[in-house]
Amino acid sequence: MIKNEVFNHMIKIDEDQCIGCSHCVRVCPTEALRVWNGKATLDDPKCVDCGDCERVCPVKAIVVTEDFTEFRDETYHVALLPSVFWGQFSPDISRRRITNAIIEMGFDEVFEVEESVEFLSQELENYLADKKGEKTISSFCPAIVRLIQTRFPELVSSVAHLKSPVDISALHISRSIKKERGEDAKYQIFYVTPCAAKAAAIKNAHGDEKENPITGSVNMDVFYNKVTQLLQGNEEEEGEDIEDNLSGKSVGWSLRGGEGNHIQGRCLSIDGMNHSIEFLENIDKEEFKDIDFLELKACDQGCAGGILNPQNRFLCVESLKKRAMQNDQKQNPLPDLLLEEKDIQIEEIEEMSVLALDSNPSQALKMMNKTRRMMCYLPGFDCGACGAPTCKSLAEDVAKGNAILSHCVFMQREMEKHHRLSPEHAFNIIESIWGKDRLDKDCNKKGAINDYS
Amino acid sequence: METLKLKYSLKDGDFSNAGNASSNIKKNLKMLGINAAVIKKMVVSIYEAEVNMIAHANGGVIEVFIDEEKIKAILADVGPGIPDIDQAMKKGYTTASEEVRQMGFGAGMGLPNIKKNSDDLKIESVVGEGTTLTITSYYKS
Repeated sequence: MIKNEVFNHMIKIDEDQCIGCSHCVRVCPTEALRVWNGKATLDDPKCVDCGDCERVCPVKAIVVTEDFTEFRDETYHVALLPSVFWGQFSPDISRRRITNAIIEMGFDEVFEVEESVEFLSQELENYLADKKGEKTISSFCPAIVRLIQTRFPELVSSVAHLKSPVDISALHISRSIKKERGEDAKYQIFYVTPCAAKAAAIKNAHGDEKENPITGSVNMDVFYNKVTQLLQGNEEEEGEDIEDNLSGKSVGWSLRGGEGNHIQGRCLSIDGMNHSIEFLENIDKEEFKDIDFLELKACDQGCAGGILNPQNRFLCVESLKKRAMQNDQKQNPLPDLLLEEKDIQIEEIEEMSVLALDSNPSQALKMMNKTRRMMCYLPGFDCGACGAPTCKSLAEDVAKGNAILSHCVFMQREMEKHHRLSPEHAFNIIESIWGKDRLDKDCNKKGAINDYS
Repeated sequence: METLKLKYSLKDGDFSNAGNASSNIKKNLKMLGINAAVIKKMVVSIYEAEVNMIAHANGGVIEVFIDEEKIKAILADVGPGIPDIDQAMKKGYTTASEEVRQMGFGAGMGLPNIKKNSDDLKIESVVGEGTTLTITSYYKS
């Protein structure tokens, strides 16, 4: 069940690193960021963990919190890896050698997330048949699901109420461990995550161990470094490589178009947050009427573009496509999974709208009108000097009582002209947004005379 | 009573922008915290009417008034008018040209669909002058 009193976010701002440059504020697709006191500040309910802020941060101040607990002794440890992880490595490094490195880290088993894709895609096909042509949106990308919950609550019922491969695979793993090692067997399953949203989804599912047996997540960049270090010391072994059991189509599930590949009906595949938002805003339009399945992924190129992928996303896509072609020729038998149809259903996806200016519509009406009145004064440049991404977002902040009109530097000039604001006061306002002494000469800042980076 | 007013002008035959007004109305309604089901029905109605105005009625003006109890949309076109409103309310009745129907519009579901998705629908039409629809939804009940 995707339901939480408090939604756990994995995107965090490291205030010690943050230089308050506002790059993140400008790109956040849900306008969840502001600069205040010289630092980026995140409005948690609005954040969907898409990671677009991390891509533009010049000082690595946007971090993905790790949800890793130490290995417990006498426990069976499983590393659950998405196929994009395998796509990080050059093709001349064998699966056996990478697997050996992971075992060396202390894991007992390596399992690929996409092993449950064939099972899921059959269920998805049945699910779509039941919907009889009603548009269904994929539940695969947790940033997109969260986006729909918070900004498109009217579409929550259109999201496929089916779990994603990572949860399905974890369920199979936990059952197979119990089957082989006894009902009381202790185990830990760690998911190696390519992005913040997947890590957040796992964190939010905690508390129901039977349904969600994943112990925690490890950031893929960290995991990749560890594996690569271990690869330095281990040579290729003679003999056969480990069997690659995925069907060709399963390999690319997490890439753009990967889900659509499995679907008989008409499917549209969209990647990137802004493209997805634009589409969701226009979903009712006539031209989209006959689409059965919508595959939306927050990252460009799907999961290969996740912010924790250490390698270039296009090389990863190339590598996975090659692997898919090779596997296509092999005609692998379907993996035998300890799963039933009912295991992969999601009971409820909750509406969690963050758009309302106020929970009371009559109060919201007043705020909406105030926002529009404020827009009569603001210049409409969207310069960001107020610490908000657009004039409209400042106007909304003013209407909500979170900001004042004189946060706008152009409004300040206007007020100074009419002697309603002293230059000292105006300067104090700037410092309250951008930080004390922020306008002092600093030859060490990025691009300045002492910067050689 | 506090009222929010929105206004959109629609150009005749501007199919490429069909639906933009309803999308924008939807965005605004969501910011008011109005129940998602109410918004959905209201936007379906307005979308139908918006497409009607662009496809068959030489364009026009949409005005939306939202107060603490209801959403009222007034859609005024300068089109041919509806000679027989009762007949136009029947499912499948259409005056659309083959060309328009091939674009996926004009299936004769418009007015019945608007009626179905609103609490109140008022149609005023004068042949040769135009049609004004007033669609109301009471969201606070």
